[in-house]
Amino acid sequence: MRHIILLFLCCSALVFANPHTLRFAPLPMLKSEIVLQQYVGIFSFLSQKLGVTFEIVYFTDYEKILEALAQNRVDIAHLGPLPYARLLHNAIPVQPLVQFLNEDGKSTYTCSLITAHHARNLPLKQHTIALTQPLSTCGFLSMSHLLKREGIALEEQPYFYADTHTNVILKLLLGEAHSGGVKSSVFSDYKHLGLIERSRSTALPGFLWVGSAKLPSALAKEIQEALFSLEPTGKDTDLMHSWADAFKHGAIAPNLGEYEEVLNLYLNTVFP
Amino acid sequence: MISLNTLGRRISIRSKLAYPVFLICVVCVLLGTRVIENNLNKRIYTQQEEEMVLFSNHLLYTLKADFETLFFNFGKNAHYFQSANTAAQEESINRLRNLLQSSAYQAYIVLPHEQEIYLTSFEKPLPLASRLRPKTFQKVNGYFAYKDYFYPWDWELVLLKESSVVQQIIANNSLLVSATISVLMVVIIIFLLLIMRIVIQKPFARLFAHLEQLGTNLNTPALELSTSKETFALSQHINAMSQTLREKNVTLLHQKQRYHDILNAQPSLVFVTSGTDIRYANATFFDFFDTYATLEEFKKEHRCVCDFFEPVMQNDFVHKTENGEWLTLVQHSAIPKKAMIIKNGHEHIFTLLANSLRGAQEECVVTMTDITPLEHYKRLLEKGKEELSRQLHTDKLTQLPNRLSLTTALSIARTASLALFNINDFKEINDFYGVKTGDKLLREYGERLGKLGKEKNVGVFKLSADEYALFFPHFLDEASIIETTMFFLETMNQELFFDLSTIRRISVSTSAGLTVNTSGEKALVEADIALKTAKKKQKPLLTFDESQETQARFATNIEWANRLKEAFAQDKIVPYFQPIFNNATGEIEKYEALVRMLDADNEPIAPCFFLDVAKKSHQYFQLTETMIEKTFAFMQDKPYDFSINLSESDLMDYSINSLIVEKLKKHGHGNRVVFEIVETERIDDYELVARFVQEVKHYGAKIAIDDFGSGFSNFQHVAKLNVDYIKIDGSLIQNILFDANSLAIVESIHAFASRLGIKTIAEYVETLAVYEKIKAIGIHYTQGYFIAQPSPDLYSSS
Repeated sequence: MRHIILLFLCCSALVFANPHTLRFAPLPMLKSEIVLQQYVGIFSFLSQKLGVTFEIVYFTDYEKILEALAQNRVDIAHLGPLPYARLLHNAIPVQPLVQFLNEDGKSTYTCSLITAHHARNLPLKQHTIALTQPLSTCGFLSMSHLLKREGIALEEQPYFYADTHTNVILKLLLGEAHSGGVKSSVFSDYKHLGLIERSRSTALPGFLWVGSAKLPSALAKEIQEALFSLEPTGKDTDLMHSWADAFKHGAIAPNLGEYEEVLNLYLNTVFP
Repeated sequence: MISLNTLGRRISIRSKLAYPVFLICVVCVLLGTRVIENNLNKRIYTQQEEEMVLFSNHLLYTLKADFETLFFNFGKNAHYFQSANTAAQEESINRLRNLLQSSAYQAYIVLPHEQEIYLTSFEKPLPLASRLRPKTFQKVNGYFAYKDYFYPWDWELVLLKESSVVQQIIANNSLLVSATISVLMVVIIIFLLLIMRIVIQKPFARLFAHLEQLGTNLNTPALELSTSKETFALSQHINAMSQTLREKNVTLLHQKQRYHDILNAQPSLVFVTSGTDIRYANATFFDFFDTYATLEEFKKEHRCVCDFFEPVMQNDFVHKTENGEWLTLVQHSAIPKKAMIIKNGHEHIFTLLANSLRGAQEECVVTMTDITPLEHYKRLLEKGKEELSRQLHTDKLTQLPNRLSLTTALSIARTASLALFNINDFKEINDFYGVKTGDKLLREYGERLGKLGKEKNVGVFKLSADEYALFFPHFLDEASIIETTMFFLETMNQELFFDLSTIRRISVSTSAGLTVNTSGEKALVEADIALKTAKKKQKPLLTFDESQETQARFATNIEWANRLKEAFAQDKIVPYFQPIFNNATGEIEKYEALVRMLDADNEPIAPCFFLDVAKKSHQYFQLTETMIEKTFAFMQDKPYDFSINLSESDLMDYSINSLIVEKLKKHGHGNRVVFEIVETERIDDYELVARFVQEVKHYGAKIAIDDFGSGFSNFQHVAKLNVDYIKIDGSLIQNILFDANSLAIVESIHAFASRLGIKTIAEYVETLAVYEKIKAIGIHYTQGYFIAQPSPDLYSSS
């Protein structure tokens, strides 16, 4: 496990005024070198707004993040819908904070089963599948359901984890895998490289921030309020313009019902 | 110590295994070389393949790295990506060219639409990428080729290496392997040769040297070889053998000296010769040839002993030959050859014996024995023999051929005429004038008769006392013979004989009996009958006819009948006992009682002379009774079985029957008595015989059939009679060695008797050969002169 701790000081003055530091677990599929780049904008905003500092506790897979969250070793974690469903399934007391919107202003996203150009004529049964991570929603969970539709059992196919969505794309291009599962938005970015989308999942609830059980509820509320107050197409357009895509479209209160559907999907999936 | 057998077996097995093992080793080395070469070649191919795959992957990784850079930098941006992609491809091609420059590979890339980009220069035609199987090491068009895809750009990367390079490596490798194996083999051979030299050659060289030394000197020090267990054992054996040889040599020397002493002690001349050369001679040889002290001296003057042999013109003598033929004659002659040597004027006669020396066929040991005294005695003996023979066949008084000469002459004559001359009343002349004058008369009578015989070519013989014979050996007509005989008779009757002491004439007349042209066997008897008849009838000459013979026989019968009667009166009819020998136990088991008549001198007369006369003169039953009485009396206290002969007529006689029963009762040991019923004549009344057999068997007596096989043998009746013994006829036994029929009959009788449980007795067994023959047939008992002749007393049982 790569465990990188970054201490980010947003405003030294404020730090001295309110010394509360939040331990934050970013998405594990991000490359460590771009983590800071992804979160710098939103952390800066919250630090200024709430007077807190963020300590990034980096984990390379979701399992470790969930374990750290349950043990209160992190205060806030950025999770996909499946890891959150896992928390629900395991009845770990957490506080869902905010759910981020995409560029369409929706709080949901889809996953795509894509095939490389060179494997277009190869029967799907003979494909090697590239997946992101075991607890990635577009990973085993979504792909097993999409392949099942085509009469293929993923657990019987050769598959491997490529870690990130872009890596899945790269593996397909290099010929190391024939098909793979990625977020549909990522597929769209690389579609011009000759990738073919075979099928797409139903809408899934988006990524969200989850606070640990020991995160002070007042602070949790302050964070929620701060992020809900943002207007990406209004007064805060300039502020959020440089933020990462995941945050720049604003946030809403998590729709917990959507996550329960993901939980059902999880429960209906046979993981190897 | 390993035994010689084991040692021999080991060496034999090893030597037998050596060639196959060597051949197997050679084959293994050759096969091994091939296997090693093949394996190395395979490894070279594999290595080439691995290196090629690695290098291909290396090239692909380079391309991947370039593409990753391109992907992460421009992947999302479709607008810039195409131009960046083209630039990246060119950059990658240059990078590949640089990598290939420093390698042994050549390569080209097939772009989409079959466009080819050559990354290196090529001298030979290239294999088409479309014909290559992907990710497979293969040999095409003199290249080793490996094709792989680079998917992002849809490239086919074809990596090539000229196969001649690899072939050269393989050839170098094969050469290296062959050279290594050859060197290894040479080293092994040198090593083996060294081992052989140490383990075999050196010890065997020592061994042969030792054996050579042993050949000249048996006392050579012991051999010690210790290069291997086998050579050590071999040396031990050789030492043991040489020790044995030494001991045997000493023994041989002693034996040689002993044989030398023995040979020197021989009275004969003993020498070893090839016929033309002498190799050895004993001391006696030099005693005889005393002018030579040694063999060398002898050989200086003579090559052969035969130089001394005198030429004697007799077949059994050998004389000097040039090339050793005398020795061949001596060797192969059935009769010992002789040689004569004259020494100091004296003849020496030697017998020569020659025996080939074992292992040296051309050499013989010749023994020359001086038989000069023997020869002398032999000559004397021959002279004596001739004289004795002459005396045997000559009448001493008249010097005429005697009776023996006459019977000899008659025995070989087919037809003969014979006249017997008898001087009438010679007894009176002898009594009157004395023996001397009588002898003179006989001598002069003989001389004159002999003279006449010579004149008339008639044989004259002097028989007993005053009897002479004229023998006409050839067939002549009766008249001529009678005429000649009459001439002899008249001449002799006219001859004058004188008593010189009284000067008185002695009156001599002669009677003669003549038989004409009769057989030689009968001539003497017939002439005798004629002479007796002539004398009786006082005729000067009578010729024999049949009536004279009948009268003579009658007279004989009368005489024998009287003699028999006289014998009864004088108690001179006695039993003689002949033993019967058990062939199985080798002991005398029983005796047969045989009737004998004793003459005036108590000499026994065989029954053939009086038995017929006894029957004719009605004295036969008296004879049987006498035998029964005397035999039972004699055998009363003897521990032997005894047999008595009975004829059918005896069995028919009531008194004989009664006597037998009485004796059996009285004797008390009826089981010791055997009655032999003669079978020479036909038994007419078998019922009578059967009744007798039944009666005597009641007392335990046994029955034998005598003379079985003589002509009237009836197996059927014998079987019914319940007899105990069969006595096989003597005439069959006597001929058993010469007559196949007799042998067959005897064997048949024995087989027949054995099947009925009847014991067989062979009589008239007179020789060992006959005894062994009948014993071989299985006959149970033997009787005859070979065992013992009849005697008035018993022999001891063994």
